[in-house]
Order: sequence, then C-alpha cells, then structure tokens
Amino acid sequence: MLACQEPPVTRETQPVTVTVAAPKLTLPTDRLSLRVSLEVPREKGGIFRIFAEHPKAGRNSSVEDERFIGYVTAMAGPAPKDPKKAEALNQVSVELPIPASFENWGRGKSTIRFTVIGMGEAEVKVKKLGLALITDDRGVPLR
Amino acid sequence: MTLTRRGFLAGAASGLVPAYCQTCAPPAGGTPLPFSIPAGQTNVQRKAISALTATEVNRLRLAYRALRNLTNSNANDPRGWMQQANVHCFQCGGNPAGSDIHQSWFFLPWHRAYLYYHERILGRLINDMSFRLPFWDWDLPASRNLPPIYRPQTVSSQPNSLFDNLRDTNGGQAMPASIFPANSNPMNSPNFPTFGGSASSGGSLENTIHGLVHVWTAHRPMTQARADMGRLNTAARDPIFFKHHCNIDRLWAEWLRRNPVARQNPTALAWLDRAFTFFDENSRLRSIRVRDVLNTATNLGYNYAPGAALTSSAAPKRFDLTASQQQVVKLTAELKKRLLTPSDLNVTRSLVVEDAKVPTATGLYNVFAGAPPAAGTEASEAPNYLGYIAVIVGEHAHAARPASLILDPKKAFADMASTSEGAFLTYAPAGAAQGTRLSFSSVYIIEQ
Repeated sequence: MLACQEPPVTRETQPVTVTVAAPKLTLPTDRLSLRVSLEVPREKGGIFRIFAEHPKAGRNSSVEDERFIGYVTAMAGPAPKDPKKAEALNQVSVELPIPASFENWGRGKSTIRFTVIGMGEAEVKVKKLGLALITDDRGVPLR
Repeated sequence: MTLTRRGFLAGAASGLVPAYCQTCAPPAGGTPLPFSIPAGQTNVQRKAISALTATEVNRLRLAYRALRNLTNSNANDPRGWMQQANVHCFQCGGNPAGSDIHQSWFFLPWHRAYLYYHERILGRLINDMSFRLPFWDWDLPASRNLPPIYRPQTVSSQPNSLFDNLRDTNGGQAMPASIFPANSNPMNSPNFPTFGGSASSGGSLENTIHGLVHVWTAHRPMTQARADMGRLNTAARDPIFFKHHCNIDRLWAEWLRRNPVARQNPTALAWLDRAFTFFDENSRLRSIRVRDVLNTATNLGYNYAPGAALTSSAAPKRFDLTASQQQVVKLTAELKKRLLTPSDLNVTRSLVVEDAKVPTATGLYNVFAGAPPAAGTEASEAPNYLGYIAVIVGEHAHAARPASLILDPKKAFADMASTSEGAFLTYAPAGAAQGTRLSFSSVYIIEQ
C-alpha cells in the first residue's frame, strides 16, 4: 500500500511542498513510513528537514515541532570531472517512520502535505514522495 | 553499472576509470580469502571513549601513531592510514564504476566489517590483539561534544595521532539539540527498513544522527559539506570517524537487543550473502559476507554492554509495580498519570521484568493496557495491545538480562486503557506452545 507522487518540481533551494494521498488505516495501531527520493548535487550533498502539514515551514522552523518527520542527510562525495554529467547528481532514497504525533496532525486525513527544506545552500529535487504502511517481511502490518 | 572491486581494479589498470576515481582505489590484493574466525580471537567488550583508562587512551594513541607511520614508510601498504581512509572513499559513490553501500541496507554491515578489520590492523601494529575500538557515546548528553582526547594538536610535545585540523569542533563545542529531535528517534523504528535501510533506500539511523554528526564535526553550522568528516570521500581521514561509526554499530546491536523478537535483521539472501573485501592485519585480502558479521561476539570478537541509547538523562527513572496472581500488574496513580501522554521520543519507556523464568525454552507474553481481548481475537489487533515480552532461553539466553518491552511512545496509554479501568497492565501467554507460566522477581517501568 504505497501512495506515491512524482511532483513536477525543479531543483530548488527553497522549501518544496508535496501533497500525497494517505493510505487508509485499518486499525489505530497501524504505522506509516515516509518514502522519499531526493536528487541532490553529489559534490554538495545536503541536509534536509521534512515537515508534515506545515507548508509554511522554513529553515528556522524547530525540529521540536510535532509536525517534524525527520532528516534526510545526503552526504557529499567527490567532485565530478564534468558537473553536467549524470554522475554529478545523487539520488537518495530514504524510508523514515512517521512519528507518534501523526495522531495529532494526520489521522483521518485523505491527503498529507510534506515540506522538504534544504539547510544552508542545499539544492533539492523531490523525485518521489509517498506514504506506506509499515509491514514485516511477510507483508503483515507492524503495530 | 556495478562492478566488483576486482573488476574495478582491472578497469583501473586498463585506463577505463576516470582519473578522479583512481585516487582512492585500493591496491591489488589477488583473490580474496574467505572470512574465518582468527585463531585465538577472544570476545572483548568495546568501551565508550569516556570510560577509557589512561593506559587505554595511550594504547589508542600508539595504535593510530603506528597506523600513520605505516603510510609514511610505505604509502601502498593497504593497512596504512591513508589506505584505510581510502577504503571508505572507494565506497562513497563518487566512483561510477564502484558500488555504494550508503543509503541502503548494506550501510550497517559494511561498516561493521570495515571497523573489524581496521581494529585488527591497529591491534597488530601495537602487538595487542585484545585491542578494541572505543565508541563515541554521543547518545548520552554528557558526551555530545568532541571527546577531549581528540582535541589537542600535541600531547607531551608530540603530535596527537587522534587530532585532525579539519574539524570545526576541536574547541569542545556542544552539539546542537537539533541533532537529537524528540520527535524523530531512530531507536524507535519498528522494522529494519526504517531503521537500517532496505535494498533500495536508507534508514533513519543513517539519515539522522549518523549524517548529522558527520557534517557537524567538520562544520558546526551544518550548512556546508566540508572535509574531512563532512564528506564521504574524506570522512575516514579523521580518527573520530571510526569511533562515531562504532557507536552507530552499537546502536544497531542495541536496537535489536531491545526487542529481539519483534526487531529482526533482513533474512533475504541478497543481504545475507553479499560479500565485501578488506585487507586484514596481515595485508591479505579477505572476503566477508553480511551473514559473517551478524554475531559479533562469536565471529568478530567483540560485544557492547547493553545500555541506554539516545537518552536525555543519564539517570534512569524507575517505577516499581506490583503484580497479582491473575497476570495483572497494577499501576500507581502517579504512573498512570505519567502514562496518560506519549513519551518524549528522547525518552525510552520500557516495561522491565527482572529475573523472568518460564517452564519452556521460550516464553512469549502479550501485554495489554487494561484487560486482554476476548478469546478468539487476535491479540495484536486489540486496540489496547502494547506489544510482548519475550523470555528467551538457549542460544540467545543471557541469564542476567531482564526481559523488557519498549513501550511505543506513539501510543497514548490513556486512549487504550480508557475503556477499561485503565489502572493496570495484563500479560497473557502468546501461543499454546509457549510457556504458560511466568515467574519473576520484580516488574517495573523504567524511563531513560
């Protein structure tokens, strides 16, 4: 059960907000994860903060806000010879557990907005972003 | 495109690899020998840097001095300082002909194997194979700055082999609280993909504290990726790299230890059988599989003491409970009030059963907030289901280790208990083949 969206956004240094469909939860104890793929310049890397239902979030927004989901840290690598080539870009895919505060800002909603904020000069292109039910190896929901 | 290291070496030799990639390519090592447990290897506990004795600190400095000297005497010795740093560089993903173990489920086992061979090389250089790497215990607030022994440029008028001048943190500045957000604690990840990654994605441990401490060490504002620690290709040139990763390695063990039944490593052969190559302490190329590194005490000769991880307080709070013969654990009014709200994610709240004994090999007990569901209802689907405690005897038994259940901070106890009296926990045997009777010396809830 993965609700995924490929947002048509270009690489940005500004916060990027993406709206995704929320999977229907069968039980109150069902847990979700956020699956996100970001494309960043390999040579620069970047630290990204992700907030949910907080489209006005910015670099100064507190990570103690209950709508903070987590970080994506794309560590920088060596500089490529040709910065225009594909290897100059790094696609980072991450799965983060949705925190307990989902009960307060997400439960019952059909769509959820996620805002990705690059810290410093980090540039980002959000390639994919979606919510999925957390399951074990057999596909049984973990609660 | 993915190539093996041997394939890469062949490519490098033929001039097919771009020049920038060759800077961290490993020396040729021939056909790797498969991993085997070294004769005489014993199980020694890795300690926190903050717990090292003066003698152990001196030994650590001597080991890194010898490692640096090796690079000076023979830059091609695969055991030398720069060659060791290049092992990580090679896996950094900047090399289009190589594979990247970052942002995937290989992140944890590859680094474990890397630390293991690095540790053995250091031990050989100081002629002490009982040498073990210490870990940077930044999960405790008191250790959230660069360890003091790494800061000075010289020690007794000699260069400090643990020093790196490409740090922004040699002054002992404290880590920002934003590295440890209350709402995003990787130790609460429910499964391996969200904790340690999957075949196609990285997990929360790598993306939160791991990456943030890397970047912070080299640039405190964390807005730029600076050498050494802040860049994948240079990170291992800083001696603190190995201690930082030792703690990441420890958190993997700790995450599993906290709930060895619910939390499992991947079982896919694509993960278990993936092999990596490293040079050992005798400069022999070794091949080691993921499955070889999973039991560190038996195969790799080290373990970690169970301990708090990512806690906000060094002093745990304990709330003793009383148990009746009806498998009911009564909560005090104070504790009930405390459980009314989900816990701060920097706080781990656990139900602990001390000295648990069961009549069978394994005892599994479901725990509920209030009364258990009616017979015939799947326990884990009950809205007041909290999880289970497992008493394991046999291969994984630890006689002195209490059984514990990490209480999910997501779950508001009050909501689940509101339909019952809400002042007690019950536990019930899980499965007919499991132990039916649980005896213990004490039961309590602990917050760390």
